[in-house]
Amino acid sequence: MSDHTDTNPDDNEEDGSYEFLGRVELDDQGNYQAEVFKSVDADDEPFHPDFDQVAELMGLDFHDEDVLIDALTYRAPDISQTGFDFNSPNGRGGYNQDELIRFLRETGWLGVVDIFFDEGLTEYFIMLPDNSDQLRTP
Amino acid sequence: MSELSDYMRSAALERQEKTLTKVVDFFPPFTTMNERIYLGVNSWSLPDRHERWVRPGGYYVTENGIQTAGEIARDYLDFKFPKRLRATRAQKDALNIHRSAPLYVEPTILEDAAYVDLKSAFWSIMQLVGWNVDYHPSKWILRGTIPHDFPYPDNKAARNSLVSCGLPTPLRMWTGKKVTRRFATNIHINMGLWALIMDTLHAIASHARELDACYVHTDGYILPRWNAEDLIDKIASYGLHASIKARGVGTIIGMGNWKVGDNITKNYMKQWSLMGGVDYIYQVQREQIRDKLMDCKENYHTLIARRVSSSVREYK
Repeated sequence: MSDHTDTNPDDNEEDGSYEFLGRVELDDQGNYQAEVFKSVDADDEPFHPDFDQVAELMGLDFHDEDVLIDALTYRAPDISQTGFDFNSPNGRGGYNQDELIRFLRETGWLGVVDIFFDEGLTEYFIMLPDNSDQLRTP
Repeated sequence: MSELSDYMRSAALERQEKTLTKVVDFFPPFTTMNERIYLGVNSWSLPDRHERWVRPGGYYVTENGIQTAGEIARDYLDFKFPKRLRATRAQKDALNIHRSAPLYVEPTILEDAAYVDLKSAFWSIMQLVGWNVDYHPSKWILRGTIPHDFPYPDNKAARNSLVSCGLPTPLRMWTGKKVTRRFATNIHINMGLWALIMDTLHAIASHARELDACYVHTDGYILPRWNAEDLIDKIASYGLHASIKARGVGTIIGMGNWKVGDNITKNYMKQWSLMGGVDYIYQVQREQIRDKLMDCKENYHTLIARRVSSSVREYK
């Protein structure tokens, strides 16, 4: 076991000072990806990072509204796969991306509503929570 | 019979049981009457007599009896949209800015003019975006429910009342001594629809001006004939239909005071008060409105299919 102080995992992978644990990807195109290593000097404590820790590891600040909107709109599930109820009084849409962002910013409902993407209409739809009457800006 | 027609029938019958409708040739001067009168343009309500007076041209004989355009529209809206529409505070502020139809007159004579008419403007726009469209100027336009089951689509006054019912119009009442104005409770307030229709008309009016229109009145445009087809194409890019209604030498005197070919306004060369220039066309985000209206037109059938699919799923 060596006592490397080098912090670059790529330099140290070969001589075994860091153990490769796995890869994390947040989107289909591998934009937000991370490879996770464990130092062989570290204790054998199990490593189960939560979402915030992984995001921090990758330098993503989901408290940053721009980052969160970007992630939510990009990751919006395809509406045809979700059983979205187009007749529901809690459903709203369709928005283009700019309209959706303006709506979320104005209402402060970012992170509160579920966002869906309709590939046929190329529009976003949202489903408001049941208590939306209390949430909506009067 | 559908639930809608059942509802509209019972609403009309209930009104008729409470109030006797009389057709009068003309409304007398209300100052000569010593009783309360709710003064409408087409009808007067006299609550102390339990009577309602309507004037010729101001009512329609329907399968549910004599009704005004406003009554038909309100009954329909009561059934289809029983809940008050919601908006954010910023949205309300943006919608409450005064809006009215575009007007422009530049008195002139055009050797070869065309009068272009936008077909059923209010109704056509409502058919694209729905009655309960959610509009926040320059921020979002979300289509609502299309009033495709409105029972009197060919009645221009009734279908346009679907829009005017959404405006906060004061109720005028003669008390027997003086006229008072008050705003009655109206759960169908819909400033978004009015704003979107007005903004769309102003967007089209600005296209007409760019094509040298010398006259714009709401949904009618007089311009050099060689530019008429370009304007019709522009209007079509909003998902709307327009056509040339008159062509020939154009003499434009003032608002509602013009002649194009054989088409002459009632006040042509008569009311000199209707002479001179007018310019009321405001700037809007034309591209946003145009793209959204066109989306609504193109996506209409897909969206209907989605809604039917949701209903079937719920039924199963």
